[in-house]
Amino acid sequence: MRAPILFLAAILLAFPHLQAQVIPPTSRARVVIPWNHFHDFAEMTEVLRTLERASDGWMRLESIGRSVEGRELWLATLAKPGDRSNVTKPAMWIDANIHGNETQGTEVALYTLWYLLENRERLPMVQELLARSVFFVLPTLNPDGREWWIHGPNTEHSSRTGKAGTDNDRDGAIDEDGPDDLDGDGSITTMRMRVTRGGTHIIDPDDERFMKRVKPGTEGTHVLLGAEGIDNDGDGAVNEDGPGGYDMNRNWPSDWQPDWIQGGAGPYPFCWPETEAVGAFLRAHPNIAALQSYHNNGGMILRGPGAESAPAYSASDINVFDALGKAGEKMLPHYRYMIIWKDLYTVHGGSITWAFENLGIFGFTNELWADGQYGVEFGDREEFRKERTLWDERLELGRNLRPWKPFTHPVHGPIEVGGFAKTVGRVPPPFMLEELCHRNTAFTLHCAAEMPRLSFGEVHLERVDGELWKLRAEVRNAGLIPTIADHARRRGVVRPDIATVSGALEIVAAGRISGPVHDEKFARQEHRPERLLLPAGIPSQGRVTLQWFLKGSAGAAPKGTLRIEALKGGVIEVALPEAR
Amino acid sequence: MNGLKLCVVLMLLLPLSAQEAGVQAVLEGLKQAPSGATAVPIRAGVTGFFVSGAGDAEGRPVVLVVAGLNSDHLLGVRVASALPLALQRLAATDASLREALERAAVLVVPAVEPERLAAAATAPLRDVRGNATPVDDDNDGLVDEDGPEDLDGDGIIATLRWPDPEGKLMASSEDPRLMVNADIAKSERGLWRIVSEGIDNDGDGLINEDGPGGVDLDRNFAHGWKESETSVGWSAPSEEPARALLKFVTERGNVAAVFVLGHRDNIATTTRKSDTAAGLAPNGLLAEDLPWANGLTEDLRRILGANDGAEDAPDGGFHHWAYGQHGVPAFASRVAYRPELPADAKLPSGSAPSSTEGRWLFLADQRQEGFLPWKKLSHPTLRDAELGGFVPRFAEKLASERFDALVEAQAKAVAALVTALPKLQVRTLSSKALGGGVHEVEAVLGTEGRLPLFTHMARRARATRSLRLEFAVQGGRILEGEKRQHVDDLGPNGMKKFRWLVHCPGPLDVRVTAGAPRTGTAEATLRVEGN
Repeated sequence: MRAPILFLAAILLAFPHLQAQVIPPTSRARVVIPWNHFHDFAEMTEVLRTLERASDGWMRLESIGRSVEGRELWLATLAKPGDRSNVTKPAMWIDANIHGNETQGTEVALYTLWYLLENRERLPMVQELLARSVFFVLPTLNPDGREWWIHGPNTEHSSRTGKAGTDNDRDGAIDEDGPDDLDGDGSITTMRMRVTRGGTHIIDPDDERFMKRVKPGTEGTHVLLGAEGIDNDGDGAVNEDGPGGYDMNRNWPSDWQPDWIQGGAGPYPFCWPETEAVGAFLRAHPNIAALQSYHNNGGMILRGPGAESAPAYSASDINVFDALGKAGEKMLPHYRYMIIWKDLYTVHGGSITWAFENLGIFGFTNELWADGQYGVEFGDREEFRKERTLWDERLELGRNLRPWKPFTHPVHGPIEVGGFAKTVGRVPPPFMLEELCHRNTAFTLHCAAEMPRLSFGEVHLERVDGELWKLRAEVRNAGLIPTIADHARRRGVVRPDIATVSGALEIVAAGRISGPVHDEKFARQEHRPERLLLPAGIPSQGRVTLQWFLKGSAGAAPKGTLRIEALKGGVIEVALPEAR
Repeated sequence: MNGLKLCVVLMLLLPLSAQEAGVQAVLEGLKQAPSGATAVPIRAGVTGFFVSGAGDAEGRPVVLVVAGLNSDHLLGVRVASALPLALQRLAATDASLREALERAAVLVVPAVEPERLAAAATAPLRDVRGNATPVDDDNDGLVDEDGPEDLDGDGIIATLRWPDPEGKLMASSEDPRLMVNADIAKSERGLWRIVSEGIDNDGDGLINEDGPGGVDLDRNFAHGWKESETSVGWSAPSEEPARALLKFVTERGNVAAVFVLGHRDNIATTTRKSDTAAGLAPNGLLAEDLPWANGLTEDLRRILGANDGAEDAPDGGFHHWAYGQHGVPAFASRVAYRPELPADAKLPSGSAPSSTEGRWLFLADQRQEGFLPWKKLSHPTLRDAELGGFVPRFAEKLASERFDALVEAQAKAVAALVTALPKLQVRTLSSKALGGGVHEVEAVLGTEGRLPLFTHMARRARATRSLRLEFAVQGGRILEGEKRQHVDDLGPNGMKKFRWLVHCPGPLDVRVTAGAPRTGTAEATLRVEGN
């Protein structure tokens, strides 16, 4: 014990400026949360309340609405206690679990809150990030779908939807024929039936737990009957109208297309209370400059556009996405940085594309978990099942495979039910969840750190002649993310940044310096020079130079304050310098 | 006396303008169902009125008539309010309408946003297309900071024009009082600019670029919505009245046709055929829907005297949504179209009025009202400005003089839609004995009326509940055929055969029932002799 303390003391003597910040990184956690567990709604709520209680005012929990089934849409705000500039600081929005079955995103969102709070005094980078930014974190956008996936019988793919009643088969009855957990094991697996003719499958001779498709022209011994279920409404179809049956990530106004073109879109944008609440919140907080929306799976860092038909993005915006996305590929092994429509599939009316195209917020969707992380790249579908089982047995000791069980089906008679549980495939094995949470948190915090960071460069004041003065000021942005995306500028959806000079002075003219450094030109704003508008904002890791012609009072040099207000970059001020 | 009381007293002392009084009267009239119609709530403060024959109207297929999407189309609201009585008058003499109203209903919603009508009617007289939602039209961070002003105190927001070397307008050769775009292909030069009456309140060099309000409700629906424009709302629909209307229509499921009275028109010109790429929503009618649409549009054009139309590409209008996503025939009527003029009509320039504006100018000259001669005006920022031009809503005022005729025409148009709805029938139900107690039963399902069972768009968009066809034979067995099936199409003839094989040990009744919310129901029973 003595040696580390001495070592620490030596460091502190060598670097005295660190003394106030250094707390040994091995300190025990203030709040202990299991990061190998998928929290249900009550547990998640409890985690959030605990974090809030232990946060010394750094975290505030509020509900921004209610789900279809009445669950609160919990939003955690992380911001410096009592800081009035929180409303104008650059903010990062994080949401997760818009698809109910994509559960690990919620854990990442909770982890992000926990990690920032735990390390707010330990790690200087966290300290600095929290001092200059605000975090809005919505751990689940679809609490109904989440709860149904965790506690209801499902497959890895089902319960993507919310729980608003939907007449999927247009028969006038709502959600009347979903899958049924015939063997009561909490998962919806597969039904197989032994037949005397017309069989399409046989029991795999290599491993009797699997079915193998027979070659054309060969008779099998079994047929597969699809997902567990019965014909609840007697219409001849099985499982054709289950709970919900829509996709909340197709319900946002940008490039929205109706349901028959974009499956799951709903009757109109923001028709469900969950999407409506989030849409209203994002609109009401123009300081949100970056966004992350956690999904599963496949190991992807996705950006818009969502469809080829949607307007293309400007080169300057793409540069920002590329720089962040490529950094993400390095921080997240097995993840690829991709464009939604081009590299995945077309999505009309997605949330991150709306946020970028209509609100000017740079954002990614991370598709959490890639099979490769398990330690093996899987082959085709049948081989996948076998390989997967092998690894399930070796690494998870057979947690996920449900052996075939007999069942008497009301229509088909004696059948068997079996296959993989819902916990295999799209969600990570619990023992790997913490790493997933941490790596994705780190990537998202990297994006947050690249939100606009404004400062003044050189500011100088000089007399032109008599009582006329020239003020020239450079405004810099150290962040990768510009204060106004070029897409937002073109569409006029983010208010221009505003530069003002106030005090004992009179403004004669105001404008920007344009052109290259060897051929600078003064571009005057023709009207209202007291409110200089910067429609293109302060660029990515760039600068703008502004210039005013001023008259001082009674012949004296102008005195006052120069102020820049950027909706996504905050407010900075500086006193006018002494004249040269 | 506190400020609020003072305000109330002042308001009581101020006489209502004729316009405001007119709107108040219209709003009062909207509160009660006209005789013979029943009221149904659409949203808070908005009532619709059902017109139909005896019996329960609510479950029948409905022709929805909507007006008042824009507050500067009071004529549409007034005409819609008069429609219930007008339809009943028509039905008294028109047997086919009477018969159609026995199986269908008309639901008139005269004012979708009545609260805005009253606000928009306050002086000065102006065009108010948008609603009250504040919108930062010029994206400068200030909201509604630069609207129009009545500079000469005449109670009218007219037009300002001023000479500008970079202007795009020139005096029309038809009449120099009219401003038209210069055609550079004809070596014409623009010399003028125009804007509505007002000043540059926020000193940004622009006049009236961000006035009070508002979102154009009739461009706030999700079909062809122009998301990059400012007055169309931030989502589709973003506005509560529009959302309420959509919710009402989608939840009830029985709206079978839509007729909108307002600024839009898709009747005056030939129907627009969709030419969008696969995988995107259509931007016009599907080719398969053109046969009924062309015929019906032609009828409506004749009934309404609709002229002066332009091709109607979807841009978020309610009627665009109603066809493009709800999949029902949807028509938009401007109520009053361009008036016909005498053959020898001439403008002072000696030329016959050819443009729409020229025609209105001829009428304004005749009546000595409706067009303000350009007059010099001292303006704080414009040099040599002149104030003049058409008085807002002059066309509406002229049309109001033909009010009864307009009501009659709109009622006839609505009647044409009601009678065009498909009348579902089990045309024949017959059986043939095959021996051994086995019978083949055949039902022919068919519709009468101009419209098909469902539009092709409804089927494509899966926007309707299918027709449910049920077959029952009590005490017998069905050997072939479905007990219950869903039907979306009766083919180009509007008639389709359905067959079942049944085994009847003795004489039995078989019953065929068919129905869907948009079509109403039909049924037939047949006695099949056993063995």
